[in-house]
Amino acid sequence: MLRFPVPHVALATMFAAFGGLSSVGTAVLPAAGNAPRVDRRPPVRGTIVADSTLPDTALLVSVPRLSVRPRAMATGTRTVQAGVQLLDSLRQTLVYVPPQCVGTHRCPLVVVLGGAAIRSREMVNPGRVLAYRSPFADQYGMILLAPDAIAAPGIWDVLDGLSDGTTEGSRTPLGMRVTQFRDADVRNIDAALKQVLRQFAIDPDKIAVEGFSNGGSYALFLGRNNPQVFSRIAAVSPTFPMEVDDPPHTTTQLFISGGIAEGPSIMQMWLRIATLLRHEGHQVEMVPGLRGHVDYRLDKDYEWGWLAQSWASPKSHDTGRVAPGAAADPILTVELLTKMTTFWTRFMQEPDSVLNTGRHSRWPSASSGCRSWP
Amino acid sequence: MAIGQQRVSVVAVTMTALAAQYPSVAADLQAAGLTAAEEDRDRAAILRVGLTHMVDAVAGPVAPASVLGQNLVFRQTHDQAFKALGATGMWRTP
Repeated sequence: MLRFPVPHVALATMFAAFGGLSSVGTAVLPAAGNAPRVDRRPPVRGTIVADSTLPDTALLVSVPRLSVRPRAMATGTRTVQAGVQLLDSLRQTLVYVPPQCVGTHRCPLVVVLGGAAIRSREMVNPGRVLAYRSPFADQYGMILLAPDAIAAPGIWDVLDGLSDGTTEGSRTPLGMRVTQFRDADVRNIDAALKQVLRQFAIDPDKIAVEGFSNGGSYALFLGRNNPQVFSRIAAVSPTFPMEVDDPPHTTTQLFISGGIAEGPSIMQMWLRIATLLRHEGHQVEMVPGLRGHVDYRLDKDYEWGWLAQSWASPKSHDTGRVAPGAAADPILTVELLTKMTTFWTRFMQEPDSVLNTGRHSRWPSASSGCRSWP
Repeated sequence: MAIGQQRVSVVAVTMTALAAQYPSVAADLQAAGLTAAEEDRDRAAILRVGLTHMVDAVAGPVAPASVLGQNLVFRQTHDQAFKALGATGMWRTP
């Protein structure tokens, strides 16, 4: 189990804010607190712990686990129709079925979660989320489930975010302040998963949850709390580190990515999460992206390729550690940096057609012959 | 690639392939006094030291006498030069 230091003052603040959640679980506070206990379900602790630079944003909550059991509930034996389908008109839950998944073949299922926007539902709009990801579903033959965020306007229920007063859209994720946890999305996704397993031919051993930004945080949160459901978790630019009481296991494989241009504190945060998960024994693909807090389509190529490949040929245990000094790097000099600066200044003035080719050649393909760096 | 003792994957353009496809890119390299292979190699080294510098303790200990250890010292003493390089936009695109 991961544990991050939680400033005491933050716990106190959180605890005051947390008082409203009582019907589904147990708020658990360390010995210093007097936690309310309403044990209607087995308590599962989950903590959203802010970085030390965020002294007022820690949240310690109880999160109900999903009750869906894929192996027992995957009773759907035939997928009838391709395309976008409305699963639940009330909650705007959508499903996307690629053509190759029509029929009796059991396909993998990916729960896809969009990023948050404080004042808009647009970022998590299921239609938008599906439109962005359906090409990957087509490419890899995966059915997508896109729930809407119903706990709060435009965000998943691990956050009830308050703006810190900076401009919406340009704010870093660190501008969010956690005030409250709700469980409406957990319940909604639980119900949606059960319905999908009844209506579509799903491989119960190949269910993943993936998301960007707040959706990435929620994917980590939901996925790690429910290893019996999700065998893969992909979190792109997760905004908050989270502590969960996931049962001891190393079966879930994770993909965690952050943008280099998101800044050192974000990089440290997600690399710390990924490193600690590796220490726990999980296989974790750590991917620093050459980007800011943006969900680049071409970066998603790598993410979805990993998803397909990790299911197709699961690796044996891999700690992700490398031998020191393995790289054959040059000694950096002022002259070397000057040459690189000169080159990149010129190169960035190349027309978009060249730059776009460069972007497309980042991921290995038959046409580009390009590769990821070893 | 390795950041300290942690292996990460960085998806990046291979300049060798791009320069082979576009003469203007090859000309950019020549004007800077670099071969495409050197650019690929040097960019990887700069990224590695930058990431290690950025994440510091998370990455695990780095032997001071190693190439990465020496490059880390260089990184710390030439901050402005690294900022100038980063200002070209090379870490955002392509």
